[in-house]
Amino acid sequence: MKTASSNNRVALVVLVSALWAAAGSAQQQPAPAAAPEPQQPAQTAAAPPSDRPVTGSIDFGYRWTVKEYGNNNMYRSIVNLGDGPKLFDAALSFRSLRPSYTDRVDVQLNSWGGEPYSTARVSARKEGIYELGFVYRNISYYNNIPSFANPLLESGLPSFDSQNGYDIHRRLFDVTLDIFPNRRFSPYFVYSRSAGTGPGLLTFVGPGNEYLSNRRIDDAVNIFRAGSHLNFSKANFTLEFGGSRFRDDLRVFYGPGGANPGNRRTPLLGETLRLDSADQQYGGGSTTFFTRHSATLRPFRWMDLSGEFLFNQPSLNATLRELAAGNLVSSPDLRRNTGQTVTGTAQALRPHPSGTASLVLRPLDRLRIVQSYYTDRFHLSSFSALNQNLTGVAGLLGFVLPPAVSEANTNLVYFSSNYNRYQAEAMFDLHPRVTVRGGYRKIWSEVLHGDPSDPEAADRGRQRQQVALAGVDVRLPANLTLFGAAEVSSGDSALVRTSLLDYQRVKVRGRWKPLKWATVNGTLALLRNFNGRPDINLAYRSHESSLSLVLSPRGGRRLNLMLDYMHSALASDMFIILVPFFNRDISRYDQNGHQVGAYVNLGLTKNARFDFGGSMVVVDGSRPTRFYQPQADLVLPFRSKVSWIAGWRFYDFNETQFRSEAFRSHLFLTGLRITM
Amino acid sequence: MFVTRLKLPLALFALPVLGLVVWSLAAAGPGQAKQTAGDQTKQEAAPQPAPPAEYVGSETCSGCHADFAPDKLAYHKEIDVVKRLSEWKGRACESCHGPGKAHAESADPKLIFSFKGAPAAKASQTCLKCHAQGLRSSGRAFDAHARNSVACGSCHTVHAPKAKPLLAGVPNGLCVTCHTNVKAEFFRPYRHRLAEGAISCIDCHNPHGSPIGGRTTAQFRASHGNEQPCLKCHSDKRGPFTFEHVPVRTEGCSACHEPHGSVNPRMLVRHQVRFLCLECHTTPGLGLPAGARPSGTAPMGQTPPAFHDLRSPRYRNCTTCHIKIHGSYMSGIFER
Repeated sequence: MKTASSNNRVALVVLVSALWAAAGSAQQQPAPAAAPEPQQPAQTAAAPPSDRPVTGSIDFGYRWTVKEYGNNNMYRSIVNLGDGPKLFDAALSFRSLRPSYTDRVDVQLNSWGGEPYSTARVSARKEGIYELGFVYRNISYYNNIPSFANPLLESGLPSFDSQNGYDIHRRLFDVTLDIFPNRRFSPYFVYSRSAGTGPGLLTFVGPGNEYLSNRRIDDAVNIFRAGSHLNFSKANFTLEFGGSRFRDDLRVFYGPGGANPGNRRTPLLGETLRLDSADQQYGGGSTTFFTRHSATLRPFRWMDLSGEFLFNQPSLNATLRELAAGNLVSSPDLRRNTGQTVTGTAQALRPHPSGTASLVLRPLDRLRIVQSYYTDRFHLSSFSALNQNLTGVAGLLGFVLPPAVSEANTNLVYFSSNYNRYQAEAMFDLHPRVTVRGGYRKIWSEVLHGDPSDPEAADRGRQRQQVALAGVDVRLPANLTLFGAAEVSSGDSALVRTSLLDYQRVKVRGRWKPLKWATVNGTLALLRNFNGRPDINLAYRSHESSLSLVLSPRGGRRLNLMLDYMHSALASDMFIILVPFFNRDISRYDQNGHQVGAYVNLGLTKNARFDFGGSMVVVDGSRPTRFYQPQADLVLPFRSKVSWIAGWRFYDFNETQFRSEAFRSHLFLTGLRITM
Repeated sequence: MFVTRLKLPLALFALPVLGLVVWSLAAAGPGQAKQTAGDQTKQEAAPQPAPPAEYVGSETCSGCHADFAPDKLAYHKEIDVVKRLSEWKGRACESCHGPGKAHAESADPKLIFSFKGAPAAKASQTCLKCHAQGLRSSGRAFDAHARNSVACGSCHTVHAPKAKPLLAGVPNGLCVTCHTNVKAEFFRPYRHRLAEGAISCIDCHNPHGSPIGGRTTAQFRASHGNEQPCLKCHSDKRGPFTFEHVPVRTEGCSACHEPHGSVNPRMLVRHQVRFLCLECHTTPGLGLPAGARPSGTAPMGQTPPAFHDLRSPRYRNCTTCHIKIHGSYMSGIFER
């Protein structure tokens, strides 16, 4: 696994382009720098209050990391920021000062130069004619976290290998075009692509043993959709059609490189299993057609009707080719063999319609009644066929068998889910400052999963739930706003053991703005869920209370302070059955955490800023974890349009139960900010 | 049982609410209440069609409100220049605030519709007169923002936008001003890279309401027509698979993952994979007819066969063998 460095070239090109753009605007008047918002991606303002052709800023420079100690795989799995030249951020707006095909083009680039998440956003628009948007993201997914199943744990030795790791890049691409030919008709076109490629680790699973192997991930999906909004005085419609094509060419392979003993280190019926080589190639491909239509009608001033119909129908054609050699066993009769060839085909069709209908009535000025119905159904019919040829076959424990065996295995699967939800709610303005609401929700669904040729053995699930709803919104004097909502459910049955059944949920949210430059927000969320079936006995309790404070005196020119704190507590316990003795035990999970974030932005002089702060996570319970992320940034102007930027980040991660996974790392960066 | 369970949350909820209502009514006082009710009458009248003579035009408005002149607006200045909005040409201000003649003549702020202080439903209805098109309107009945009296103006501002589309702040920063608990969840080590700018809240959520999250009450942005938003990026988990893992489809990704942030690897909701799996896979009756199970309403998810000796670390991470746990093309037990 290695860090992809191809983005460096892109970063260089972008840097040169940005510098050229900066030089082009060097004669312009200086503009006051906007106060940055820490921890948020820079956004381009909707309308630059400027008549200059180019506005914005570019931050670029160099970053290097100093690792104090720790597990590099964990560092990369959690942080993954590396050394090298970087384009940290660029936000540019190009404005046309004379009639043109565009009024304005906005370009925004974040984190280029081998960064784990590089983004580019470009938008162009001509007022009243069109809007064009382009988003590109290159996201690095690195995961090499030790697995619990590692056999070395049995011997008491630590191991830093994952058995399900990857180092892939997923490239996401979206283009959106909205056209406004007239007020009645506004079509739009969207093309999206998501492609993931890269190496990784995965087990080659055989009967009796599983062998850590290499994998190569290679998948891509292309989605195209187009539609139009149709606007009339009392009705609006949206018609959308689309399709997608997906391919999944995963490969799992091992060797040549010596015998792989797998995770089983003990003989199976006298045989020591090993894998000498393996190559498993998947060829999955699916095609989807989907539609989405919506309608909103206002036949009367006191009534809104709306509905939506959604449908997608993916179909699958998949193949598998597998070659393996070693000392293996095959199921179900545990024959030993030295080689196996598997070919497989699979097909599936999964129509998935869903729909909504809602009615909003306003019989009185102060009263609104909202009723909605939602249904979601899908039905999967699938088929797979596997042909397996074994060579070098022998019976275990010395039984003699023919040297070659061929067998076929066919599966038919049927899976259907019908979900329905009805909700009715009334909202009443008790007072211009007080709104209360109350209502009822009913959920009923059925699931059937199994072999259609044996319906008696099918797995069935049923959900029946009634929920009482209540809420209140109070807008008090002195800019104090409070929202409260509660749900109380009484369920008859749930689809799975952990589903919500008999639950009570309370949410209270408040906002107080005592001064124009001071805001306090608070949230309290409680959830208790019970399932009293004797074989489940689920008791789930969670609580989150958070508080945030934002101070921005004088528009934040000199000082911004942001403080966030959350206390979260979660406790869940329920019966489980442990194999091999099928004894009843309790699965208990506890989490008691404090999450704190604090950021201060100081305006030192007109364009000089010093920002510092960070976040801290302290969690106790089933997986005690500490994660500290302090940071500081400095911006010092030394020319009218050029500033020196410097930054420091610190990451300290440790877990009480897994000391070997801890890491501590400093990151330093320096560079320039060019303002246009 | 139902009534018993109702007591605690109702007591928790009703008492402070009742107190707040009484306090707010007392704080407003009869005089103020009357005055506000008067505003209300005007506000209700404002968005309704009015005779042309009731309008004064944007130029008159700009005489006092120069900072809010239509030509200084980011998008709504189009009302004056775009052909498709020609009926409001020269009256951009009044297209939202209603006819302004009475207000212009008296300079009385009560005689024109003001979004500030207006009930959320009324303010939003004014916006929706033009912006009802598209999917944002059809999902409104499912919109938690609308249900909780969060008006369009809580996030959008016509006069001083800071980001597109007419947002009062940068998108993620705006969401976490209310959803403070969600912001804190993103501080955790295993998380989606929101703070780093790789994704945005609105990549997954539709703030205008959506029925797609009907099973979870989250307002999801749909992918592939009506699929969960996770599947747009994690397209290899979408299928269709020959063998689907039932809860992926019925419970959604959040049955096993905490999408905002977690202290557990792979954003799982449990610290060890075996507990995550066993909490569902504990219903006895593998392969038995439905009638042989504990009851006809037993949840799905059957106990693993006996050779899974959980005393051995080899069996404790179920996905070491069941590698295709989200769905498989070839294996009913997700092994290939």
